[in-house]
Amino acid sequence: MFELIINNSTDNGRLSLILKGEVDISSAPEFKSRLYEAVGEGDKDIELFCDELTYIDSTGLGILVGALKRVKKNDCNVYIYQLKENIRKLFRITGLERVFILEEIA
Amino acid sequence: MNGIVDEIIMQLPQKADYVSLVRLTASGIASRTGFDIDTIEDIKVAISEVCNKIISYNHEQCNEHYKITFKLFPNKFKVLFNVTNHLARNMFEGEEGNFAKLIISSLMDEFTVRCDGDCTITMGKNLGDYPNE
Repeated sequence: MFELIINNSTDNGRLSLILKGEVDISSAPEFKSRLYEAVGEGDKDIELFCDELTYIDSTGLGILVGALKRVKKNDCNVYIYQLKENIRKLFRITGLERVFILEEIA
Repeated sequence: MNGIVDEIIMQLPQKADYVSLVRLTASGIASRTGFDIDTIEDIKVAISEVCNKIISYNHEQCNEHYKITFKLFPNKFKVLFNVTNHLARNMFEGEEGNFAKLIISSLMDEFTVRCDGDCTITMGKNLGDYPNE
């Protein structure tokens, strides 16, 4: 199970998201639908806080890449904060560490 | 395959709902084998990736089942999946398929797909510094 908290009215103009729990093949369809709805046309930078994200698989990573592609069309970016080490390792293995902007603190 | 201690076989419906059950079971078996928490996490991730691909590929056949065999050795742990030749040739295609392949091959010590009619996907993890067989 996962939880996605969406804040679309931040002071910095970014779409702010908090992702918690497990994103796997079971929860991926709902995650994809809610994330892409929030991202819309992709005209804002996205900040994604993941300190309580405990599991994500290749399906979830693919969904995040989909969101990144949308915002890149508008020269925006996806900033990912506070990944746990076991998940950061997956970003490293897949080369996504160089595709997203990974930071420890917002 | 000498020195096998125990073999555990799971047969599951090809439904996403049960992948968390596979992760839980894999975690228990890997823990019993003696792996540390970080390695158990890696094993869970790798096994789930194969389950995902089997389920995604066969999403119209959710009444079918698939089999996972866990083989426990004194110093290693192996997981085997039997899949069709067609599935084995296609399951790691595309962007997500490539992510899955990279993840599995990086996290596991052994990752092979052998076909003789149907195919067997084998993943292995060694305990400590023991070499592959």
